[in-house]
Amino acid sequence: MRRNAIMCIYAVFQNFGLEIVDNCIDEIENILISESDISTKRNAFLVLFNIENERALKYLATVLQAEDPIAEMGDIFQLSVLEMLRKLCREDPSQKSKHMNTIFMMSNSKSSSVLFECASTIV
Amino acid sequence: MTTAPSAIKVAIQSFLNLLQEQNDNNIKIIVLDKILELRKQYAKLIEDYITDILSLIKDDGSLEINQKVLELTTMLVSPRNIKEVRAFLEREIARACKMEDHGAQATITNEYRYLLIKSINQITQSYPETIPTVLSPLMA
Repeated sequence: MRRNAIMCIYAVFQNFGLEIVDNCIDEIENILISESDISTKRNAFLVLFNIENERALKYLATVLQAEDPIAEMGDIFQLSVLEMLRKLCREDPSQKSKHMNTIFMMSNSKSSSVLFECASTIV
Repeated sequence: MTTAPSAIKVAIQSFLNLLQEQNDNNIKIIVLDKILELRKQYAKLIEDYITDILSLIKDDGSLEINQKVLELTTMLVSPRNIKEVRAFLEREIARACKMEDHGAQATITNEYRYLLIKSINQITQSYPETIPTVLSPLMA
């Protein structure tokens, strides 16, 4: 339910621009931080990244400071992170080295689909 | 995205781990295709992992996987790993001779023998010194 609501906000944003969803951004960030359901978390991250990628990256940085970040993330969340990083690197190659480390961390993941995506991203 | 050898090695290692862990043939085929694609650019780096690649040919492996592995091996042969490949070919010839060639398995066996001989042919052309080793089991 919540994950669909978040995607709904995203659809509104895509169709009508930032002004309408302006006040939702903080809300989404809060959901991202406090949410326990991984698919909701994933969608929140995706939406936040597309609306304001600075904040999404900030959140990602705090997550990565945890002791064993990859194990805590859940595979679908990892997949969305990989996708985002890939997009970022393509848009702005100068930041590549910064994101490469995160991608390498992903290669320790237990999930095979993450492993595959990660290796395909590297090459 | 990057061309750093250490990064590519991480990627190759991940792919090989996947190949060893997964039992689904479809997954194996996709991953092997990825490695085949990588070979075009990073043949030198993949050469180091030839042992892992050779171990992918198994008794119960599907023909398509064996074909891809043989293809990859033929392309990756170099003076550095020719010894290993030679031992592998010798072993495979012996195994192919023992394979069931009657009944339901006949087409698969024949096809595999054909593929094996084809790659032996290619390898011996560039490395004539391997001829004696592969010839004796072939004649047996």
